[in-house]
Amino acid sequence: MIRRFLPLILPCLLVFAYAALSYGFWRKGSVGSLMRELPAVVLGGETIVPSHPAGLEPGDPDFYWRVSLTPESLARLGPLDLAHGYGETPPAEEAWLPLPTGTAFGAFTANPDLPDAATGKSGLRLWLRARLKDPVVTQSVSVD
Amino acid sequence: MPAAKGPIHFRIHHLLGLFLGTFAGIVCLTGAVAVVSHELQWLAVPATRAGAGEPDSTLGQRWDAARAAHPDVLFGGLSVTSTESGVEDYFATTVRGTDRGGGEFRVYVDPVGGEVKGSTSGVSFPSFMRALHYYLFDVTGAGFYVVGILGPVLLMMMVTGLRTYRGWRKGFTKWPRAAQRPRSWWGALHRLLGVWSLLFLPVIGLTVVWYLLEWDGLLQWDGPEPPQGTAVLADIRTVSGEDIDRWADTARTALPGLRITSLWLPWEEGGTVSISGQAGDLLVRERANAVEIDPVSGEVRRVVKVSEMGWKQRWTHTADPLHFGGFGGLWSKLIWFASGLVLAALCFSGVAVYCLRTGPTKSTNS
Repeated sequence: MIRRFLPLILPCLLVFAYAALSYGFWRKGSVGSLMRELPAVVLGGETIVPSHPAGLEPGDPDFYWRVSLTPESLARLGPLDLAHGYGETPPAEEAWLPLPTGTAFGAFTANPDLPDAATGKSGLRLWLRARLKDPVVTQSVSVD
Repeated sequence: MPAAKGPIHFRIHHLLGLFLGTFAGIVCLTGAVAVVSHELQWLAVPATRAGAGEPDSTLGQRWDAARAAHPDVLFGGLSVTSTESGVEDYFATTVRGTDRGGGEFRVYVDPVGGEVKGSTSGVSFPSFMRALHYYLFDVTGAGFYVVGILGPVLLMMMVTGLRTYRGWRKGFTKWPRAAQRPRSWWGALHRLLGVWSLLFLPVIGLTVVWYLLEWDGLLQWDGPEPPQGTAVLADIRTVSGEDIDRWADTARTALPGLRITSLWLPWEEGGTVSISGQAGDLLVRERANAVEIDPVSGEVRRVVKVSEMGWKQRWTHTADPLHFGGFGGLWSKLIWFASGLVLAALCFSGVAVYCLRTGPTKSTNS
């Protein structure tokens, strides 16, 4: 009896089991990666919330930083630069990357090179800088 | 597995139905639900409903209302849920963006009064149904082929079914009778649904065959790539309702008669503001008519008019309305929904015939 109905049910079962397995990946792709939020950075009196995809580290091709701030804060700060590096010393000038703006879903994200990239190394800090502030303001937050 | 006996067309019909009948029935069912998914969401989520009366707010005012209500959200565009026949006035305008975690975020603004009615995040019901019906959530693309193969399969089952059913032309009024034995009753229902499905099964099957060819890159008739803007917006977050209204006016001037159904800000640096909608053309999807505007200079970079398309490009924009039936507003959607249910019932009744036929008394009559 089962043999009779197996061809009727089995292809359908297999296809929808496949769909059920795919659902998780599709949903993740639809709603974006799960982001890990870092403590808020106060830069020039404005609050900025940085984040990065959870589970990824600088050096990973899918890694990027995202910084969120209100339009009003951005207007007061002007264009922002972003860098990351190990230790308390601010990164060298060439390590700073202007945050790309002007896009709907890519604004305020960046994945700068990490000159001494070594995943798992401790003491990683994210640096933010408002260049057009007088004087230039710089702030950092520990990523570890 | 009992082997079917009889003419070759019956054996093909039997074999396809045996292995793919249940699956085809479920895909037809998901398609039927997908056709009215926005309406079902309208029923379930009050925030998606527009108030009674004529819209009295501009797109820009709705944009500003959404921004004011959710300052943390990065908004990237707005859309007015519509069918190919024009803007549906019972839906609220959806202003779309991403929240701080990168997730999808939608704010619903009433076009009547311009007030925010609510918001939702994550996957919407129409997106869920579309992804399930279209490609089984499979982001690799394989799911599309698994579903797409049902297009030629349904057409083959239609042809072989008609060859099997002698005198089918007289079958439109042959209703199953209550006095019939279950197997005969289901067989009669299967034949009745089969002949009535001739009204729409060819359209559904042929458009799916088209999707297969289009997806495979064998036929790419969708016009040239959109142009790039000349400059980059200083910051997407500073786009105001005034900007939105200015771009909308520019689009309406560039393409007279345009009823805007969506407006998208640039997706990447140097991109354009993309505005699309309907301009009185028959059987074309919403994005067929479009105006691309440089967000900084406000110059029109490109105007895409259906009236200037060749037949190949035009057909590319016609397949969707034919497959999903949105070309005539709510009524055509309901007809396509009912048609989808008939197709699903056709598949399941065929399965029932098989199950009853392979019961204790074996018979090879269909």
